[in-house]
Amino acid sequence: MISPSDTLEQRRRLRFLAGVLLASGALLLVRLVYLQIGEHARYLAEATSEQTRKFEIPARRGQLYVQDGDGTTSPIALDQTLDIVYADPRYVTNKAETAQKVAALTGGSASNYMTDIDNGIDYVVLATRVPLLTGTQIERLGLSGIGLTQQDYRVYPEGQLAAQVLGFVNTEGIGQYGLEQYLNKQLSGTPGRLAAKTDTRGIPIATADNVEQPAVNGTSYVLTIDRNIQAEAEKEIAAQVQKVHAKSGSIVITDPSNGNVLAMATYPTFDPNNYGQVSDYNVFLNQPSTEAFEPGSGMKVFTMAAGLDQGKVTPDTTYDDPGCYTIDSRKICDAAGDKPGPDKTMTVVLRDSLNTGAMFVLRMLSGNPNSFTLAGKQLLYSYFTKHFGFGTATGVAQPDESAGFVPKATNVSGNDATYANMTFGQGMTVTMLQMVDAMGAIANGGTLYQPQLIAQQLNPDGSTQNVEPKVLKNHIMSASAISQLNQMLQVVVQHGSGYLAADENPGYAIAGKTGTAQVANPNGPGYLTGVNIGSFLGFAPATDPKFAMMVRINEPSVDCDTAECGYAEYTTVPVFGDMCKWLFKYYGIPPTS
Amino acid sequence: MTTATLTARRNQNLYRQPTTLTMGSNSATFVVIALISVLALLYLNQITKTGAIGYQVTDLTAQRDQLVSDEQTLNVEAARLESIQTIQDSKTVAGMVPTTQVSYAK
Repeated sequence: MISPSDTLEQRRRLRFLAGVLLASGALLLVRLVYLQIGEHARYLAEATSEQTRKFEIPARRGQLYVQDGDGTTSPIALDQTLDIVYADPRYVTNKAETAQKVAALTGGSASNYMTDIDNGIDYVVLATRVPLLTGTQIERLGLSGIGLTQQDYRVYPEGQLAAQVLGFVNTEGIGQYGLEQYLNKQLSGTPGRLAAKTDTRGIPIATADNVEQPAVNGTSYVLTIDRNIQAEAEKEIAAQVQKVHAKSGSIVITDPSNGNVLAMATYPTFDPNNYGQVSDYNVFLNQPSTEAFEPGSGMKVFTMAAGLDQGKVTPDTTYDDPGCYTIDSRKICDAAGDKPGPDKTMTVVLRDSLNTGAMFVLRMLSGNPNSFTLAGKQLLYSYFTKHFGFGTATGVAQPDESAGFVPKATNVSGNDATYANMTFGQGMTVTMLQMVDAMGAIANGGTLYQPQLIAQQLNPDGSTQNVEPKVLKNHIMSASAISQLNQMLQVVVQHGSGYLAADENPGYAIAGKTGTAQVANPNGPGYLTGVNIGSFLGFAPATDPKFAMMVRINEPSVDCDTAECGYAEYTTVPVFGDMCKWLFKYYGIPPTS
Repeated sequence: MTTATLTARRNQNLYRQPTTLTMGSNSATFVVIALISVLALLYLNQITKTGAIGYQVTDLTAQRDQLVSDEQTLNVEAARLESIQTIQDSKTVAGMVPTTQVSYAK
């Protein structure tokens, strides 16, 4: 039986219990308020940082395409995802067996892998650029301590083709040399960003809170290069450089009607897929645009152009060739082998490449057949720089383009001798691209175009944009002067130093001019003896030019009886002639006679 | 006058008993808890579905990336097979006779 005192005691205990519970609840409530309201921002930030990760969405690098002659294009630089096979030596159980199994699939050396694993600590790269299929096969072997990771690589399916024009992409994904460097920003695109909630494995989960900024892929480009012409040019220049034991050689071929570069080849070359194997980094340089050189007699074309355009000389103007002129107390002569004589015409000056004849043109520009004047030199300077674009970079899509150097006309002592030399391409420097571009302007009737390497831009949004020809200067010469010069240059090929090109292409009208330049001594004044840079600059067909071309052979070393066999007419003209023959067939151009 | 009109007029005179819904505090609490529970379940269901779809999206993205990678590989392989060097090295080209003399029809 419950007594009243018991009931009272129970109530007291119940009240106490209720009080304890209420106090505990209140404490919990206070704590909850503190955590959820007072510390809300802090815990929210901590939770967000644990559950949310930021990812970079890589942008795909734009591709490069070359023309294929029939209006189609072909990829020449594109990206491919490949595997890297690595080992963690701490977990490799049977090193010899593992090395052999990996080598059997990658085609690498088992002994090298073995050495790498033995010498490695915790991460050793065994093989790079492993095809994904091979990577999958390695993964299926389940080898302990062997792992795979993927990486995007730049691939050049045409191998060495146009290597210097293209450049390459280094392991950090940055373009080096050539178009890869020049267009690196546009080709790279813009990586995207993703801030997403992730699961426990760090894999992003699609939620409404995710913030995504999509990647913008890189722009792709269709080049003006025709891969068939490029391949033939590379084959020709490689063969000739080896034949005449030259240091190097280059060819540039352009379309004179718009300035498009059809081929730009240099030998020795490299394979951009394996650029790391190159020991001489000069091989990476695109010689026709980056290297300025003294062009030699090819420059007589432009000296003569100035004289003809100014009406100071005609193809039939004659002068008495003394063999040498003394200018600024320096004796400047014709090349060895040229015989002095009276009444030599301007056509003969180009045909026989007479240095005194070129100097005579400058005298005529000066208005005085016996000396140079400042006005005459300024006129020549103006033609070289303003009309033909020498001394200024062309703006072609290549990095580190050289502008060359054209000395200004002054009254300073020695300037006359400098200008005397400049009339036949010594004492000034140009690039091959400038030369062939200027010759293209003569070929097309007087319009100087900017050399173009890009024909079309393929934007990441799918739109395309054609690159229109850019005119640098119109009417560089009068039509009659161009016609006269064209005829004179045809004579050079038919009866002068370019005769080997005519022999190779009977019935075709070809215009051109050789140049055998001395090479400046890099260690002091003067020029190196027995060393030359040979070139041939021309266009064809002369009556309706389809291409302009320059061939250059650097420092040939020909073992023969006469010095002339190392001259341009024997080192470069055969290449020019062969390329013309091939191009006539390629374009289906019939002979004119 | 139509039958519908007559019916409407007749119904105008009907007396309607006003209905009042009364709920005690316990019932109100129960209803509120029930509503909260239902809403919580709906929310949970929605979150679960979103999570599941998120994983599906992730899987599909991975599949897409794999297909893009496969496409890249095939493009590279196609480009290699169509390269000048491959064509020149092919047996078909090796068996071709180079042109020596070309005649043009006038």
